[in-house]
Amino acid sequence: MLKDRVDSDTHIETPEGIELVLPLADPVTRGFAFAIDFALRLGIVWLGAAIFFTALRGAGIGLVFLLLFFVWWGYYVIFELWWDGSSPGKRAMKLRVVNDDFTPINFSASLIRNLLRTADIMPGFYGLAAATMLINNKNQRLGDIAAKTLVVSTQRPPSRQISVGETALPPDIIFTQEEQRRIVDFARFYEVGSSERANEMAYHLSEALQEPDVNRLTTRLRRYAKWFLGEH
Amino acid sequence: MRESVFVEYYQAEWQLLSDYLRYKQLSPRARRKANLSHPPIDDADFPARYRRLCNQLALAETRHFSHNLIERLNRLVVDGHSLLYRHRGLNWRHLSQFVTYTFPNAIRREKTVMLWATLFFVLPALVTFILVQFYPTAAYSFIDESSLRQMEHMYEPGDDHDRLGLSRDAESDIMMFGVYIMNNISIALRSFASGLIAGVGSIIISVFNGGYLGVVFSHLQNAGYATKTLYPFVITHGAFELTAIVISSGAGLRLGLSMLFPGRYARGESIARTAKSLVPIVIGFVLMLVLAAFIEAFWSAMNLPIAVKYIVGSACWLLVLWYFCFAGRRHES
Repeated sequence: MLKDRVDSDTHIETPEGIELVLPLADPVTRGFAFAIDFALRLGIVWLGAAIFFTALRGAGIGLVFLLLFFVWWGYYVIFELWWDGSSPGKRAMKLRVVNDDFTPINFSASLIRNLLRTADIMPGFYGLAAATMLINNKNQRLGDIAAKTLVVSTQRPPSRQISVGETALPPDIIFTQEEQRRIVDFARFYEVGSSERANEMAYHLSEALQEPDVNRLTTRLRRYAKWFLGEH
Repeated sequence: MRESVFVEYYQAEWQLLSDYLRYKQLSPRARRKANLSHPPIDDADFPARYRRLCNQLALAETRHFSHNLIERLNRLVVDGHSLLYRHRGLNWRHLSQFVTYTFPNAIRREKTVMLWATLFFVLPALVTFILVQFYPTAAYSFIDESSLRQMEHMYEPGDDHDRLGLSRDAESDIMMFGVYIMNNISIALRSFASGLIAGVGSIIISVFNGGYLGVVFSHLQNAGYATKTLYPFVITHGAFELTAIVISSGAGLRLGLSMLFPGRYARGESIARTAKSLVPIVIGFVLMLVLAAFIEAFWSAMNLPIAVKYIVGSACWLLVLWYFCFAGRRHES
């Protein structure tokens, strides 16, 4: 199966005919989230064991086992319900679990996806999960497929950080989404790159935009970009 | 309509909707803290307003309005979508319904795999039991000597033990409760989950557990402890524990079959549907094992006349059998 998309977004169409877009989490980030959660779980059990053993001795062993049980099987389910799809590790890596129609995760789905970790772990080090995620075009592991869930990134694209040093100007002609993105990319290039090269690139638009002066053309494009970015 | 006019025209509407969505995301306590007594718009108005928003987003997209505006509306729509189409989870208020009919009906719906799972458990148990009856030394080729000796010691009848089984006093009752919860429920959950890989995991765990049990029972029978201590100890909680273990591997088997034979569904879809339908069974067997752990830690370990143990234990077995055969039949669809 070939992935036919170059970006890592996932799209759904709602009953209202609107297309919704969320960025998928990549396996490496999920791995980091898992590592953080794992360390935290170890920490909880270790701390619990230390407290219960010193305070209660015999009965304490029983409580430690209970704690072990809840941390082992319940940790993810509890956090995913409590924190709307994020465990502490996921929250740290800005990830979130949602149903595959982008609605918040519920108890059944969380239970299924986390119980089936047992199958995903096999034959060791989440081997099956890694294999499934490579084949699946929504980066789902087995548990995600069975629970119909996705792990998405809640991080806003970092591109916002480069701002355009011009005042916004609403364009008098219509640009498609694709063209708008190009113009914004161009304006960002201007901010970090060389202005001579920017002028060379802008030159190709001088006919279409009826602006023979390249410097003024570049400025105009940057002002459009500012408008597209909504920084009025 | 130009973009600036469009924004100006609908701005107030979006703000209201965004306030409403934020209000809905707050917990009741956070609402009180922020002094928000009621939502900015009426709940009944929300679907209509949400659909208007969807129209506006579609319009903004076809008119190629700025990326920023479209992203902003898209974010509003995502939030609205997840509020409007929120999945309803299990309703915990209906726990009594769950016990009286949802769970037994779910088990009866999966009758075939449950019977197969019983076979995969009982057959190995019978085989090893009979084998060890005829060749007592065979026990040592299944389980190592020190473990067997430990078990002999555990169930050795004598006057000096006021408790049976592993636990000897109240403090260790609590200890054993934790051990049983961790051990038994982990085994059951693992046997369910590992069924996803073509059902193989469930079968292996089931056969192994059955065979192990057969060896231990047969060995202690040979030692002459079985009827005096072992059976009185295990009979009561066994009714719940053994059935729950069999149910867990049956459910795992079902999951594996849905992967192997998806029928008219896509493989992923088939697994997802089956997994969802199995959730009541998973919750059911976990509850059964919690009950079994209670009984095992606090009742089975008590030293009562053997007759009482046998009577209560048999009653529990009859109850469990009746439950899965007949309970909630009226509500079967």
